[in-house]
Amino acid sequence: MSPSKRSKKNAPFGKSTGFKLLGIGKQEAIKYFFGGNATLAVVLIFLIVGFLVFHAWNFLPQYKKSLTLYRLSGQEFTDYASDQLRAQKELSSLASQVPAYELKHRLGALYDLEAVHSNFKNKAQKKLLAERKELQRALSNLENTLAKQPPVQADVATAKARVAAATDALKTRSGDILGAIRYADLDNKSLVTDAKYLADIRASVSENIITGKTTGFIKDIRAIEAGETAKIRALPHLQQLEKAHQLLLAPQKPFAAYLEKYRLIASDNKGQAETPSTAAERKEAQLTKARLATTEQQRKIDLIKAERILTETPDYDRLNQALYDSLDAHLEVQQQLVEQTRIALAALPKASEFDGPKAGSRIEKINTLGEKFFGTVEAKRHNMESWSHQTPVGYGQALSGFFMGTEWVSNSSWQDFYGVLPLLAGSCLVALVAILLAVPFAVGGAIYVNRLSSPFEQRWIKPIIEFIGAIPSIVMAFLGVVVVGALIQEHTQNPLLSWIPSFPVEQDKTILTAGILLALMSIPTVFTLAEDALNNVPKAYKEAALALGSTDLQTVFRVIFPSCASGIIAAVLLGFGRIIGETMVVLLVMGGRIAIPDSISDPAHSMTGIMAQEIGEVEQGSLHWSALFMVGLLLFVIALTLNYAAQTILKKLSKHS
Amino acid sequence: MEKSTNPFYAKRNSQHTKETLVKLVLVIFTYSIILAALGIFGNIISNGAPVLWQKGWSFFTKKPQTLFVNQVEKSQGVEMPAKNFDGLLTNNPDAENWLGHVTPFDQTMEFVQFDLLAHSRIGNGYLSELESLNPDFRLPYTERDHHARVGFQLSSVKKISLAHDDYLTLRQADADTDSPLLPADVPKREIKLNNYRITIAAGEYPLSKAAHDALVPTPLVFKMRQTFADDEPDKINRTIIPREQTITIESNTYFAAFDEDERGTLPLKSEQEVPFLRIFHDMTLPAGNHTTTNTALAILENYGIQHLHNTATGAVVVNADVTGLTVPKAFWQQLTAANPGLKTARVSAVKQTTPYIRFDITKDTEIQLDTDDRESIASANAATGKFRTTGEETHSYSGGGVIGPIVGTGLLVIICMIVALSTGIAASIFLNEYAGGGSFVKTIRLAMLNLAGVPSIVFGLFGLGLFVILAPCVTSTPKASSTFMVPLVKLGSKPDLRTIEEQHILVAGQSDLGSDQLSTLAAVHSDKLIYDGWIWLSLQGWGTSLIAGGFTLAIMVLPVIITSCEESLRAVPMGFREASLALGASKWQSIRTAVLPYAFPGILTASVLGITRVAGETAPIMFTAAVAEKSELPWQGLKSTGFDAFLDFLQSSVQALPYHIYTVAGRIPQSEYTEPMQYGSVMVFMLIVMFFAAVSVWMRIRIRKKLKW
Repeated sequence: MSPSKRSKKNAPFGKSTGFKLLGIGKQEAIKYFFGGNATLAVVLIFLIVGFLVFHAWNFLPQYKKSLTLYRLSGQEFTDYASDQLRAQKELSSLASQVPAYELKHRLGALYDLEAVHSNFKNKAQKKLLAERKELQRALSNLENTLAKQPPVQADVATAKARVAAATDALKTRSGDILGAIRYADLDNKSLVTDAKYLADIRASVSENIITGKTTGFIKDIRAIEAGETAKIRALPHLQQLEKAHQLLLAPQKPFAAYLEKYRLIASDNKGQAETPSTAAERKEAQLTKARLATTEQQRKIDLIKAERILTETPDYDRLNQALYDSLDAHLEVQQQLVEQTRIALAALPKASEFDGPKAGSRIEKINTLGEKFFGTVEAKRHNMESWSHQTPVGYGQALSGFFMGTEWVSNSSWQDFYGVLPLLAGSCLVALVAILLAVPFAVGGAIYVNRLSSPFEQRWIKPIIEFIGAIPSIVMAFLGVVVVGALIQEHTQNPLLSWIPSFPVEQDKTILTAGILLALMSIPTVFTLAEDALNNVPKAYKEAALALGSTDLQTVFRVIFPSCASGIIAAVLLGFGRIIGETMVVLLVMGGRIAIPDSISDPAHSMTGIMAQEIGEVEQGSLHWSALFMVGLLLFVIALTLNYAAQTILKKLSKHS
Repeated sequence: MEKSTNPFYAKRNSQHTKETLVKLVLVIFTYSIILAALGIFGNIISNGAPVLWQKGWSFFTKKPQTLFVNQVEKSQGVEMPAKNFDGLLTNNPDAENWLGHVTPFDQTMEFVQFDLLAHSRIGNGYLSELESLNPDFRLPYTERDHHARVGFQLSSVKKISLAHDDYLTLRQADADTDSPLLPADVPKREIKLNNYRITIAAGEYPLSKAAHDALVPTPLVFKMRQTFADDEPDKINRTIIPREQTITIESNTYFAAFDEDERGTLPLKSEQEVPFLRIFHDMTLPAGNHTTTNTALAILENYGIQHLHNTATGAVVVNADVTGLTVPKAFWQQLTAANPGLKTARVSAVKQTTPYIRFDITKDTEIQLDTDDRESIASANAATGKFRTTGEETHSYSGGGVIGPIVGTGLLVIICMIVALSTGIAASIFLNEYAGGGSFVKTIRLAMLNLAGVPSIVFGLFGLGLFVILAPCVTSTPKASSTFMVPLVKLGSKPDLRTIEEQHILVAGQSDLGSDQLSTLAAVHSDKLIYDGWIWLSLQGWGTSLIAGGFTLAIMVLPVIITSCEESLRAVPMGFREASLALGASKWQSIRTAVLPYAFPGILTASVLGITRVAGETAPIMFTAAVAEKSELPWQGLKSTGFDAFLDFLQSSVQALPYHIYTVAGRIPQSEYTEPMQYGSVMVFMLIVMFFAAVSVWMRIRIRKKLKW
């Protein structure tokens, strides 16, 4: 007998309401209403999964179709060759960067002097608008007076006086303004400056603003710089580098010519392959339009348009024949590429010969990439030889193309790729950086506040940290864009920090920047949960430990901390889950470069960021759309797994105590 | 060790130093968090407060606008309306350096006030100008007149070479009027031209883009192997001629398509010249006002005559008298000249004075102006030419204030909280009062825990999929692109002609077509909505709208609300319920009278906590509700009345503060001119969010103190 039935029939104080529908009384109806609302949570979870799957499930067939076209058209074949060239070009572009870094390092402030000069000029010019305009007017006035035939002497004198007055005014004012500009005001903080040039720069800028001509100072500097540069460039290791660089560049031309020729063919093939793929639908639509046309003339036009649509599939064997025939030509350019690169790499100077650390690190990178290069070339050549346009593309390939793909390219005129790996790597790396930074602070803070601090500190520190949790993520992202990014870039230039891997950071929007902000955002979550876990440790543990003669810290680290470790692990997992699902910070602060990052000082993109950035501009139901929902589904699964793991640990813990 | 056996004796050894060090590290960790927090708040306040101080109240009353940065030459006697002058002062704190002789005066302008009578004919462009000058006036017209006479104005003499057919039409238009447009005799000019009759054999040929473009309008059937891209004018593609065809084409087509000695042309099997005469009529139209028929004006359009009529749709017929319209005198003259079919009454000249400011710009300077101030200063000095700019930069969204985003965020939060609280409280009552511990409740709790862990962007995707593109609507004008439609009742009232035109509604006739056929028909006519007399249940989604965003946010915040409501219900002692039940109250009665009132403060705290969470979220509203640019507040510019207007209001997109910050911080180029807007918006946003956060903290503390059972 259920309680509700009893209350209806036997309750002595029950009012007989008479309200009954399908055997459900008023009280039960109320209960079911509330129950229905509670069930919403379950329904919602299923709906979310359902919608993500519904929009994502079309991805596989669509991506398979797209990859099939990619293969049938021969684009895949030519892309193997472009991969070879790209790998080699990476070497040459690194080699071309080295001299600049070396020069910058050796020249120091001299190297950036012109940039500093123009930076100063920009700053001053804005504030001198009125004076500069007046000078311009005075000058054109003088010109006009002189142009009169014959010139009136009195007018000329006045005009000259006006010019002189304007020049004086500009000179005084620009002197004032420039005097107030310091190196610290520069927009680009990475410029190298030297105090000994400051006065000269100010004077020169002032002169330059008045006359509009290159000043003597700048000319001198240029001459000195040119002399120094020539000297540095003449150093044996830079000469050697230049030679190697030329060797790297030389074989690129014939290879690029080969590539261009066959890429054109492949892209033509693609055009021909795409045209009939939607032809049937288009023809149908056009015929419908003709049927519904209001005028006879319009109907005729529509019919002709319908008839013009090509429905036959092209002959792929014939289209791709040229590509198969090009294998010999490819071998030739490839051999050149490999030979010259080998010689160039052998001729490369040693990294230790370079003074600048950035130059040296790039030489090292060339060497490591160079070792991989030959393997890449061989593998790609092998791919090309065994390539056949008839090999069917399976679902497995589409699936691995998504999960293992290293490229995310959309809206390309060549071919779209939807590989989630760079996004996943970016998301995971930034979350890892953030959690590694956050955990010591959050857990350390929790231990301190919970076990070691005074009651006064307890009362104040907790609400303040909770307040950080209330800062909206977009505000954090904004601070990252405006303040934190530049701050990190500036302070990591410090040579004292150069022992940290991937320092100095060369950009303001990097994984590190986003990681620091995300760490700050996740500290409240981890802190609160860790503090809860510490709170739940029975008091007896502490008392027992202290009675046995251990100190406060021994109690905390040997007794209390181990007994609530799983709670803290759960806190960290929950924090990780929150970070990986965070959108705005990674969207605005991480730089948005879609590539697998090499280090934490690289810009990267993320799963959440790509969705936020792209889904607004994508046609509903397209391949791109479903790819983005696939990313959403993947993110959902990751977040749920982390959440579930954390909850399980917490549950076990609560059973334990 | 030997020294003492006293267990309380503290040894000064390395252990102690180590402990102090570890403790120090912990203190540093803790306080560096606090320092970071202070840094964040400090940075925002120190940069944001001056902006709010400088912009003052106008930051909260203006909408976001484009900021113009003008380099202005020095000038005397520049004029502008007083209220825009205030805007100029707010945007330029350095104004005292270059402002001189600021004198207020009253500018008098001449207006014409009149009543517009029913059955007037008025051109489209003139009507919309009239409506923009009279914000309260909107004409829901139901009829158009294709045969009304229309007028146009020529500022200078215009020479026209009319083609023969056009000449005849114009002549005919002059037939039944006493002010003919065409001069009495128009000289005729004959030119001999050739058409070409060509035959092309079946086969596959290369075809250049130019030739292809020329052939598209001809009746030739050719199949392209691939389509041409717009950016490759020199491309040659292959085409298939399926059968031998003979067509007649004009000479320019012929020369474009065949008479090239380049590669991409089709070979002609035979060609034959078909000569014919083309006749032109040369005439001159004098400057001044002219009238003619709608058809004739449509032809004259092609000869470069400018006007504001819409010749394709015809003139609008005014269906009811409209009283008290006011327009500037200049526009009145233009209006009456261009619309001969206009019927007016009670025409009177009115003078209006507006407070103006006259000032000098004492030196060349840089002035920052919001869009509306920029427009008003430019138009006020257009005649005198005293406002001269030598350079102009524009910065989108960097001027004005944040009223739109604030209102949008407020509305989103309200809708979200209504939805979330009503379901959240009900759910928590069930979980705490009714449910036992069964597997059903366990499932619900598990689902809630997991729902709390879903990333906010996934909620955004979900909202996009469910509310924006699939949610059900009951309407008489469903979208043609709707996923699924069911007809309900045949009760729809036909929208007026204006709505039909503006919203591209396909009006189907009486025949009952299925939804598929209607959609196809609409697609063919490129109409967006369908009307056929039925009221439909259509799964077409609510679009990017307030209600979609509100629901998405509500779902996101639901777990938080349920958990904290449940907590406050649990805090009500069991004895309250037992006492109430023992007194004979029913279950619901005891919940209503003995539990809910005491849980209410807790529920209120929960809702404030929810507001804090919801107001700060960007990702869920990015694709469900928020837009960067919106010139009107959500309740302005609604085109319907009554309950429909409320629905329209719910379905309108909004600006929102977090999205606005995203726009100014991440989507427009950064510059020093954008920074005030960035910090100002962030400051306002933080004030709002932190206010609610502080309220929730305060309430929690108060409740803990006050409500102890």
